Amino acid sequence: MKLTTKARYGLRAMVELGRIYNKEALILREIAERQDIPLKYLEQLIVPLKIAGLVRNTRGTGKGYSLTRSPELITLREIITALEGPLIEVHCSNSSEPCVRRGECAMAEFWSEFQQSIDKYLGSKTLKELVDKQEQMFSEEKRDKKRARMKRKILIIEDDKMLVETMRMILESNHYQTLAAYDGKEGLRLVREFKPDLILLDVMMGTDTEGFHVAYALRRDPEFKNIPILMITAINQEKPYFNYDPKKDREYLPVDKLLDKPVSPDRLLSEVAKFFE
Amino acid sequence: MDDSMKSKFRELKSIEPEPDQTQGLSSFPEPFKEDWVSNPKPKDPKLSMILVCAHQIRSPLASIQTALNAIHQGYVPGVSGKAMEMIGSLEKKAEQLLNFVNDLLNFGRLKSIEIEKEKEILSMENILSPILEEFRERAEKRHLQFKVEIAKPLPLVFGHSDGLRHLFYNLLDNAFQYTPEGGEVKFFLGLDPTGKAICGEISDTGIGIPSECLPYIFDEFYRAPNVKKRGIEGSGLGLNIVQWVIQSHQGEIKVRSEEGKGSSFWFAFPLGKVMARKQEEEK
Repeated sequence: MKLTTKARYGLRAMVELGRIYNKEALILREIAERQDIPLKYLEQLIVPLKIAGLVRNTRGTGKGYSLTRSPELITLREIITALEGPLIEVHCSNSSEPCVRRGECAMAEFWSEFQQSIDKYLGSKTLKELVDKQEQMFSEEKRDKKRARMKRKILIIEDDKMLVETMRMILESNHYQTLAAYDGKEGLRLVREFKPDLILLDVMMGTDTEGFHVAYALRRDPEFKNIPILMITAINQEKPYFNYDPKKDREYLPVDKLLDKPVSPDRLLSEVAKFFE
Repeated sequence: MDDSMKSKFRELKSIEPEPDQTQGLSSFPEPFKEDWVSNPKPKDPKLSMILVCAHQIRSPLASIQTALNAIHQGYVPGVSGKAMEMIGSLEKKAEQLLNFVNDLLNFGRLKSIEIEKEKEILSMENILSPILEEFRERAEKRHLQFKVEIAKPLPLVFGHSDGLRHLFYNLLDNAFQYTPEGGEVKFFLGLDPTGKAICGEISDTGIGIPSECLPYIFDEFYRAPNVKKRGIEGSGLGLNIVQWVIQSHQGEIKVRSEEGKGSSFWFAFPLGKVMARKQEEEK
């Protein structure tokens, strides 16, 4: 009577497919990542779901798995039966091997009622209910994250005004608070005044090494030495080969991460988010 | 971080004022005019010109690209339809241009250094691991088979770290660039039979190089017509840098290719005066 991992993972995969029903198709790796299911497991359990006619796999552009019908029209009974077979096998009425005590057993009626009520319960629940619940939980999580971000102050020290403007738009679209300084001295003044939670720091400003000096100055100061610095620079021209390791090379350049310009919006947001995990 | 970078930073830190608790953040040093990050001044006026231009173009171009990225991905309100479509094409153009400028910078920078003075004792594993990591990721994204075979243990080499990185990077980059999805790239590195040289081969099942083009592929800015026809962007500097690195390590490089079937680059370069240098350093 214990539900197997197959049923638990399979139901999770179905919920994920329910969330994107009529919008897109997902390849197995995407489903696995989004619902945190081991890919190997998913590869196996997708087969019975396909055989049961609950999912289909399309090839070509927009390839991937999708539901064959709306989540409202899929019951949990169908899904669980596809994955596990019948949940409870009642032997009393099993036609191929009828119970020898049939007819004189007080348990027969009870078992059969038990089976029917579980069937009825699972049959009355649709996938849509689970999908809606999941969406609601995700959106609450998102709102909590947004609230947390709204309190984060990020200082951008960068002399290229267009780049500052771009980064502010990207960060503010994700509800961070931003401040900007166009040179090192102004940057340090804003650090003192606002004590930001993170500093995005350019290198070449008034001088070729201005950003480095800002980093050194911050690290010397007992009050501000722990504010994380994300250095974004154009000097690191040679692919990933500056080979900066924030753990080993701190004594030379005391920053927490070094990114090469140009930084795409997605990359900027994901790198910034890492500082607030 | 490389030793050469470390010593640059050590120098930089040495001009910093002594820690002064009372001053706190105000102890920011006065700006000074020192050419720290920019490139060595090449004697060759052509290289000098290339470097100055590329340098001046790169930084604003990088911000243009980030801005276009941001618009295209919807971070800037009020852009849609045809304008958005055009922004998408501009974004691609900016990326191509940036790649070209990066190639120019690498080309100018490498060619203007005094390479013999910058050679050091190197471990091939250290040089290769970030590069191979990057290409493994690319292989997965592009659905290419990427087979790596490195004889172990490889001896230390007396060479130029940045140069050797470009050697491996450019050859792999080409192999990946010109091999369609589903193809295969192989990378082999080992010791030659004499035990005194590193030899390697990078081969692919890509579009190949027409035989009449083979004599020119190492020339500056040369690009084979079959590549141009396919609209694959590139500066035509990659292999020129590769050849320069090989030559400045007293090595040799050979190419074999068949159009439509694939290409293979074989190279070898001596370990250099590793032992001699090691003993010298120990003294």
